[in-house]
Amino acid sequence: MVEDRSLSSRVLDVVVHTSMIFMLVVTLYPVLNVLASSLSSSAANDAGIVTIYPIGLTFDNYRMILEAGKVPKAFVNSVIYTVVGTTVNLLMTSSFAYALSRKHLALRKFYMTVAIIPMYFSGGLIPTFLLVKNLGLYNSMWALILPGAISITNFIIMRTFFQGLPAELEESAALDGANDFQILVKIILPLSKAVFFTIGLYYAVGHWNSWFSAMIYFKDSSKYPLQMILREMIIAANSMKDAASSDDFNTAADIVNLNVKGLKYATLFISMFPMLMVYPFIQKHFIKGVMMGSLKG
Amino acid sequence: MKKRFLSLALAMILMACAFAGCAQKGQQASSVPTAAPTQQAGGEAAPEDKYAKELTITVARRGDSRAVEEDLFSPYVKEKFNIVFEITDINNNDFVTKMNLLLASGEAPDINLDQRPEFMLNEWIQAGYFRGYTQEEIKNLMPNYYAQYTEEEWKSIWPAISYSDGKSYYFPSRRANSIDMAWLYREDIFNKLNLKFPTTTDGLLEVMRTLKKETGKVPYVSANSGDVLWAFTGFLQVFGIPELAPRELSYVDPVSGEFVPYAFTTDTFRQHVIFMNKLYEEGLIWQEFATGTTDQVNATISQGNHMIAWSYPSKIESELNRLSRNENPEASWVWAKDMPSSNPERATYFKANPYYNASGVGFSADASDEVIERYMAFMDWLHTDEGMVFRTYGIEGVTYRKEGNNYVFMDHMTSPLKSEGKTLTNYGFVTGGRQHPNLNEYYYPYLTELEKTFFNRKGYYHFISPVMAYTDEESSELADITTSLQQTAREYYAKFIMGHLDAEDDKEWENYVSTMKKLGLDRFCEIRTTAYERSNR
Amino acid sequence: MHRAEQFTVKNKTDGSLKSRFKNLMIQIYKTRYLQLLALPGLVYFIIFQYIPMYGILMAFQNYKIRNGIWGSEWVWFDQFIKFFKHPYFFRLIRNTVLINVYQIIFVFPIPIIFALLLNEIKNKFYKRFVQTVSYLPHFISLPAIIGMMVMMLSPNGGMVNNIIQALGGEPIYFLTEPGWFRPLYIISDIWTSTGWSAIIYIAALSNVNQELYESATIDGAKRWQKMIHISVPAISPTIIIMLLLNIGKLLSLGAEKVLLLQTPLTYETSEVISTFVYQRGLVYSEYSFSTAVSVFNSVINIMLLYIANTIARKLTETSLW
Repeated sequence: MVEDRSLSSRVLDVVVHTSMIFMLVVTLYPVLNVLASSLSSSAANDAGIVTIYPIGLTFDNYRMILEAGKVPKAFVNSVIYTVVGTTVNLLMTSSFAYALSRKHLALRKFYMTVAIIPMYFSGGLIPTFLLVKNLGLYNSMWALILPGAISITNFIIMRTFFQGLPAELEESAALDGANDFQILVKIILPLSKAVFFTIGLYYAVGHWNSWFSAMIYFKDSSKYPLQMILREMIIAANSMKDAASSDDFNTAADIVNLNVKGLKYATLFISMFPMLMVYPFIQKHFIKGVMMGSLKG
Repeated sequence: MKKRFLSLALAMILMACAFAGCAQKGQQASSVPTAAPTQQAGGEAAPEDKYAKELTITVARRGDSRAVEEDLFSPYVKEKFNIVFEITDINNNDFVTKMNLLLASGEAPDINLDQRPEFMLNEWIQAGYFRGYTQEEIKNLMPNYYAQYTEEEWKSIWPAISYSDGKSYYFPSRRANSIDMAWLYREDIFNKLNLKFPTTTDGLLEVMRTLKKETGKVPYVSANSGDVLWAFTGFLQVFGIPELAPRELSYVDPVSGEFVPYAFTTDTFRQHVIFMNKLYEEGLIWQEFATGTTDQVNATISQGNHMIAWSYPSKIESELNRLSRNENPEASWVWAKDMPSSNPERATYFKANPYYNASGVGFSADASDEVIERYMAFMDWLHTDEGMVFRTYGIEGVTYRKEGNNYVFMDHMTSPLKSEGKTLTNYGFVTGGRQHPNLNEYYYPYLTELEKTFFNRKGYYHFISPVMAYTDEESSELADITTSLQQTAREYYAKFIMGHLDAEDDKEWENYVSTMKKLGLDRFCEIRTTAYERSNR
Repeated sequence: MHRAEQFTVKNKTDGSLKSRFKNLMIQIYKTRYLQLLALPGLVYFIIFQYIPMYGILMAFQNYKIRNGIWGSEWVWFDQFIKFFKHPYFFRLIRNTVLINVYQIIFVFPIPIIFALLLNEIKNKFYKRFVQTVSYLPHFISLPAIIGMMVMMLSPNGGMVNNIIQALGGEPIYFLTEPGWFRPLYIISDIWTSTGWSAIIYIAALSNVNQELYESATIDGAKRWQKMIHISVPAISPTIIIMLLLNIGKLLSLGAEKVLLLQTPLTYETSEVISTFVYQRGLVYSEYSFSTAVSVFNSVINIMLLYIANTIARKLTETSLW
């Protein structure tokens, strides 16, 4: 491509780079702030002087979290729920979306209507809870996974993707004598890698960040995911006055002179970490996937 | 053909998932209670006959989930009472949501450890979810529990916890410390400036002015961004409004015995607001009281601000000294032996009933009699000396040792004097029961001191929150009104204090009251008064 | 397609109900493998979405947990009337709608502009780096983000006010100014969501046929002209779909962030429907009332979505259905 060296192009470059640098600074700040606070001493955190680099560098917060307490267990729980949940989501969503993407499917309109209505109307907390309980899923990880097995938006993106696959491929394969199964496995699935990664990431992020279902459906706190623990820490730190006025006599003996803010941010960083690591790996597929699904609304 | 196979396979996988879900559930449910596998083997020390059958009791506990590293509690309870506890920890913020779901679905835990009046307790009781007991029944069923209070003390407690049917639906535990809050101040600065802790509002204002002038810092730093009405509860108290008014909204004046249905539109409240505005205008309280976060408050204190506080003396060690010493290593906080009052001749007020905690054990109506009986036996035991030692200190030689007559936590444990180490919750201990009196005597001598200083002091009163039960219509009407009232009260409170509005100006105050009336203040007062009169004879 | 042909073979209908049913049955049989694939989804929707839907009845009741849905008192439209008659009803609607409209005006275009500008970057590594960093705030929990904001906006030594003072201005106590609430809300939205929302546009842009750009270059088009005449049209279907989805939730604004950012002094501008419902829930767990409010929201939202979708279908070729 010929390099455009006109004035307007250079102005554009200036605009582009200024905004990118601005974007970098603005979005990097909170991330570095979390990281720096998690690595700072309790005095520095108390004084509120930590910005983007640690003051009084210490790894105590991470040591404490990893040695004792609930975080390691909760982390493992979160990973399990995310992996299993995303797998179920993908199986359910893709099979439904694939079926509905085929124009000759009988009752297609009916299925579509069935899928769209719950986007706006839902029974709410109590009926859903009763249902989950009656299905025997209370206090089981399936209570976190099955009620949200298909997200309607993700289903729409996937369906649109399958619709957009060039029909010629399928047809020529059929002419070559390939049967339906071969078409699906050899043609559709390889082409769909991208959309699977995309939707998979959307689902995985959803599972990773969710805490409400865990709060509702779990009886044993040993099953809590990481976000639940994080939430406890953040709420506790935000309502210290409340905690102190608790009448539970344990609190008097349990008051621990902790680096509360540091611990909170260390947990926060641990909870962010997997998502930061995952994204670059699937970025390539991810980009293709979103595009193909969304383009042909 | 192949396609059919694939579809079938997909369907089968999904079915398998669902079944696995159910199977897993069953398996976990049975694996959780067997907390003490060693116990069955060594169970030769056979439990008494009445405990022959192993019972699983489900318990709801309010608070954060806890990490149990080594469970010493369960085996002990299993051996002694043949009880296995299944505990659900419910975070404070989620308590109502989750309990409602559990109650609605018939999954209610047998025992609710932290029944608190502000958590829909009245509605749950009316719905028949809990068992009620008369005073006589409690005395017979749990003699040791009953004996933690003298008959004299029962006379003050019973009316506050019993309902119009003469029954109580929760069993409060005794407060470990009858008085645990006081005014605190920076002794080092007060000594340097030759100040005494004030006993009047004028004195308080003077002292705060001097502190500001001499140090250039803000004398009082507190914030509550969640509900600004909680930001200055100490100063509410100074004006004779109970500290818990933001939660209770209504109160009974302990001196006059008069029922005040709504705390935030009275003349007394207006005086408080005018006073707070004066403090704000002169920079004597922190400017950001309505928005500040805990992190910000800590940072501000770390810069040397905050020289007086209304708080728990236990916070001196755990928080205040640490923060203030970031600026001045000499900083030292102490608690004041006096309390300022807007009308010292009349009275000075304390926080709440000194005898019992506002939360207590509740028994589910769905639980079997056997479960309740066995839990009561356990609970009663927790109030014997042996039980209190177990509950407070754990197991001798493992978590505590005896030194003379004192019980002392082992070195690897946290204690009130030491923050590093393990806590009893790490060993699986469940909340409930009563704290052993020796803990305060040994570890918190100041609490005994506090009690001696203030208890039974002439002109010092405790607030007791009145029992109020509503009908269905009343409570849904209240729900309607209360939210708007509280919100508007918060809005005006902040505006009056910050000087956006002038509480001294009759017109602006009237305007506030009439806005509140438009939102249903009168109806609110009517319902509350009726309920109060109905519930209290 | 070969399968489509199979289905049109037996298509002689005589119009009677019975034969139409028979025909349907035949069609279902013909697509039986696909039906089997759709089955788990159908079962899912029926079990987890439709069975609990009886909960909507609560909106017309005075629901009490002890009575359950079948035993609670029917009050029909009382809950709705209670909501409409509330002294703060218009304030709530106004604030909710305004924040959402501002979101559509100010927040919605930013990821698109960001994506377009990012597309102009030639260095792959630089591009990826910016993109990855910009989406990170999406993973920091909201209370932590708001905590940082409150810190920065503090009138006593907050970063923003330090800058204002350095430039000779007076410090502003942002969090207590009703006029600042919406800007703060919008700015923090942009801050935390731009990178994440931009992904979909970045993806769409990366698929534009490069030959289009090249032939435009040969025709003498400037870079910004190519951006406007090639890139923007290429992603406009995505933009329209996203816009439609945004319009379809005009009355649903989550409570969490508003609760964290509002103060009593800004209730005038910050109280929205969801926070109102949330506060009532805190005091008395009013399931009926909150269901009624959400039914009201859904009805309005569906109407808006329907109108917007119709307009979109008329004006462009893109629409949700």
